[in-house]
Amino acid sequence: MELKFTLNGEKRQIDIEPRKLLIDVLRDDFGLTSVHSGCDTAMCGACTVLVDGKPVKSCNLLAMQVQDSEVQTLEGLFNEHRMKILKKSFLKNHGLQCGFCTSGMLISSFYLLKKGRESDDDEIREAIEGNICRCTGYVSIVKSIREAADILNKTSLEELEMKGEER
Amino acid sequence: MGFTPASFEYRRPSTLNEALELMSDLSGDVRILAGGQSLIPLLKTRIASYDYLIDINGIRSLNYYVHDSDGDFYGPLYRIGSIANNDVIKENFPSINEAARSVADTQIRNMGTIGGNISHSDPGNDIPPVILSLDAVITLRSKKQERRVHSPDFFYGPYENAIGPDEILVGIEIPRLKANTGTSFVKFRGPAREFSLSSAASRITVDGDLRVSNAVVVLASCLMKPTRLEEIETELMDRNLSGDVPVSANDLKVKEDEFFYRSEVSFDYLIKVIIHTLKSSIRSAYRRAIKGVNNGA
Amino acid sequence: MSTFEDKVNGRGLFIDDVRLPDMQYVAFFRSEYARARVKHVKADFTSRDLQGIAAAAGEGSESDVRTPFREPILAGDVVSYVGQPIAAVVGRTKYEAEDKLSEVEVDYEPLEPLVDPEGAINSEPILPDAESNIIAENYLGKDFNVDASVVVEERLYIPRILTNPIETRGLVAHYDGNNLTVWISTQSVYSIKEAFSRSLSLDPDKIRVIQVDTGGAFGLKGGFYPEYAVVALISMRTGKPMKWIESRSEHIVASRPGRGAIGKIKLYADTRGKVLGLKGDIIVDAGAYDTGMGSFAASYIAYQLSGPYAIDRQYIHAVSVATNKAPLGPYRGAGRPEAAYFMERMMDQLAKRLAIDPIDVRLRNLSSSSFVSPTGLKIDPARPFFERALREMEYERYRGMKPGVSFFVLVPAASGGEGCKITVRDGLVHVWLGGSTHGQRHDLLVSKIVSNELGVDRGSVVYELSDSGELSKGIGAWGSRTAIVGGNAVIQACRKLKDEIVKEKGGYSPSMLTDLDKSVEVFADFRGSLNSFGANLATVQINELGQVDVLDVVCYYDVGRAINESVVREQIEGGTIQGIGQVLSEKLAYGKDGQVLTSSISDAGVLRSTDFRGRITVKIAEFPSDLPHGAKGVGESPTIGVPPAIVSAIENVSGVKILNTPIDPLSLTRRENE
Repeated sequence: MELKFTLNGEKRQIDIEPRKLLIDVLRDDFGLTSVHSGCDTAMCGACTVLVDGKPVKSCNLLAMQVQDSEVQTLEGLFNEHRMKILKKSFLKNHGLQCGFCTSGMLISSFYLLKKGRESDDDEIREAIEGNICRCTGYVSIVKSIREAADILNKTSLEELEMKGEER
Repeated sequence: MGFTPASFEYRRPSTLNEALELMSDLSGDVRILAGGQSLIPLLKTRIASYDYLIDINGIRSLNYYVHDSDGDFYGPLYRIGSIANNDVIKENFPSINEAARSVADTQIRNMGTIGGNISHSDPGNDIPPVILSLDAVITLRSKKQERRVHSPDFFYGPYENAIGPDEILVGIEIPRLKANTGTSFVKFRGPAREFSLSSAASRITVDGDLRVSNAVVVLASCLMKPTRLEEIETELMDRNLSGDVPVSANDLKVKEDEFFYRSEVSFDYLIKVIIHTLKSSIRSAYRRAIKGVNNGA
Repeated sequence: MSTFEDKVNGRGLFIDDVRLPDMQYVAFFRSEYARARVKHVKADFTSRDLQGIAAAAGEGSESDVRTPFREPILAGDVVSYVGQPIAAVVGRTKYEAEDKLSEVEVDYEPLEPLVDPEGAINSEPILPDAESNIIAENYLGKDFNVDASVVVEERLYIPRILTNPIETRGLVAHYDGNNLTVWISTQSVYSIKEAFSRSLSLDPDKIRVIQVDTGGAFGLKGGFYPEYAVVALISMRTGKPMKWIESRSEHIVASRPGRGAIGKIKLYADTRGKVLGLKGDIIVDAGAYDTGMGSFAASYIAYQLSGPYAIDRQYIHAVSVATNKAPLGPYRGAGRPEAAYFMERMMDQLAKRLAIDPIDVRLRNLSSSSFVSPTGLKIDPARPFFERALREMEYERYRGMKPGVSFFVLVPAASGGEGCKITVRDGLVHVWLGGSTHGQRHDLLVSKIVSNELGVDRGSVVYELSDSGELSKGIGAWGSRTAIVGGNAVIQACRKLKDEIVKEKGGYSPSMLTDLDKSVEVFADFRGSLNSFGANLATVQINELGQVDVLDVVCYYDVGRAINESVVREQIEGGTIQGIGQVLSEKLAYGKDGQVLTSSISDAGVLRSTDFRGRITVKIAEFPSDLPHGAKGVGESPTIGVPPAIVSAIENVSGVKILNTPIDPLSLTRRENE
């Protein structure tokens, strides 16, 4: 079955078995190994990617479901200003220990920051409720996201536009 | 085990008519794929397998939400996440907003659809009890006909409902609420729990004296299907609920075989949780109803 | 090792990222029954094709496991737990391998399983060739009679709990006709290598085990599993690299859960709360086979049961019992949390019986001198530490909230020491450690120590994942040991390097490393006993449905000397949430027929970001050890001290006696009805 979609900004076409899950197409066919498989019941969120700008669990979609859609993985968000701030904060605040849940966490928190509203710790916790971490107890993760949000809230829209960000 | 689905034939119709043709013409086990959030985990365990999956995500005409003077109209593909973030829905039907926000987590909500949540009919699904409490009408279409099923006639039991083998759920209508009506959905959630023990959807209308003039109370999660608790509804009539909500375990006229157990929880505790959830939902719906009166609506 | 920058950019190399040419996928067909005779099985690989025993390895294991309890790599005539591997299939893709599982034919004759460990003690043996279901039985201490005014007796229980790291088990094995190379997500390449050698009867010199980025472990990945042997053997048969990645469903039924312990404890005391004697029966639900942890667990709990308390008379019966469940493994603490939970709950019950403040009862039983318990546990002077702990944790400030407090001792698994190799090349200092990091930031530990010892910039230190081909001898990362013995090994390696440079060049300065190409390897043995104390305080709130909100957790732990304070803090935070999970929700649930009822990672009770919104306060105590860096362990302290403190708080606030975890919310609602 032919799948046509946009992946990390590039138009792609691939022939796949319809039963193939999005996570496997991303990892095996496109080498995007930031996407991790951590469970088989769509709970842990380690496989989270953006589909048409929204976080979804790539283990819980047939690849065919993203026909004509836009998919972004962590690799594709490398140049996003908000993502850079977020990553810096994760590194500084030790928002990762083993790192296995991290790409999913970054995608979910990137989406939260992109929505742009002021977020308190409760909202941050709810934004990553679909991402399970066993190492950190979430403490440093919430702190990392909190600090990134604070930095971004102080960044004016003009600055963001200068950096090529969308509103 | 657990990583991958078994093989199936796949079709992706671009119009509703195409989809209906397929439903009618294909023989074997055929299943609609909308958001897939409930279906894909089943496919991966290989508990369920199908000959055909019909992916309706390409049928744009099925993805809509309309709010007008007659009520709210949903296409089956309208995403749960869109419902959760929709301020018009939140204002007019808070129970739908609350149910949508109760579904799993952000990622699941972004893919899950209202049609999927209703047609899956897992006792733990959040939208069905709200649909029932709001007297929703569900439109089903097959190649031959279209029919409207009122929500009390829609849910049969776990994973069983009125959708026929050739039919697709194409619309959900929520009639406009009467004046001075409040709605609420409350779900009991324990730590880390996969399954909720109990959820309750209420619709309460009050008169000018702040007394209940109409009450609809639906219990779900712990029952085979979302169920109106008519005895409790009767108890609430004509009452002012500003104090304690008069619901107790004695009022719960549910037969043993109507319960749906998923986790090993004691029956005594389940009853406590149910009463608490019901009271919570009724109280919240009542408060919203009286706001209407107090605001001179 | 992938740096943390790599990981944050999604460029880690975890086991499922490993691709080799011609690599294929192994899937396992697993038993549906807890106990059955296997009359017939047809699959690519069965026990007829692949014979062997999964060698005991890793934390708590001894190399000689009693024969009847050794686990076959594929079940033969009998299956003994739901999830036990019976057969293996191979596919070119994961999808194909899972398709092939549906073609496996098996005929079972179900047998009556044993699920209750206490009942199993005297029941007919579940394993052929075993005389009983007793895997190991010991009596520690010495029997006694004592005239006591008060005797408090309780039965306490912690059910089995899964380790549930977000990355499950996995390996890639490649046999090229001569040598076996294994890439693996692991806590130790050495325990794995040694076990491969014994299981497969392979010359250890022909085996190389290489660690890849490891996504958490908590005890899961130090031992050797039947799946590992099967995957390697299939590679040997086919000549192709073979990959196996555990699914979460497999993890739930076939990995090795921890805890699973019953403590029937008796305290003999005087009216002032001084404990005159301690007796107990420790019964561990060891599962169907002994992979090392099973036989070790019960006596390890008994050994440290008295914790920091100076109790002169002790007589403890420890028995590990076989049941029709997956074999027991270590889970963050591995016996230490069980011991502390039992003792701390008993101290609280004693305090209640005597109507004495539980803090006073504890202090009364702490000595200001060193103490060696009748079971051989060596304790430093405890009383001063815990008096200080109460001040540091600001106990008085929390008093009004009816806090729970726990006192404990962490007995690290430091014995045996650790290996380290340093290679200086191209101006960088590469370091291999015997233990395999899996989230604890050993890279920061190592870079700090090397920077101190060699006077180089931390940025020039490259922490390498473990590789038995690089460093020949090591032990592993578990039991809170790495800062202690790993850190010490790094120091010794640095000093050896400097000594050799001094011999060659007549002196040492860091600039000499720029043009150097040199390696040194050490094995720094350690035989000392190094226990560290810790205390926890917790406050809770309980609603009318018996749901517990943990408000505050305060930790006061002796870490010896914190090499990296933030890492210590973060280890404690992560472990605290696991401790809260043990109390509120975590357990592996079984049906009467041995079926595993737990259906997912969430159903197993692993907490999410919204499940705990309280405050964690960490205060670090530093009473340095005698080792050059002064470090003591910390990894397991939170899973030891946090659960009993929280349970104590719940008991104080609700007035309901709690003996088992996870708590039963129904029991906490009864208070309202009184």
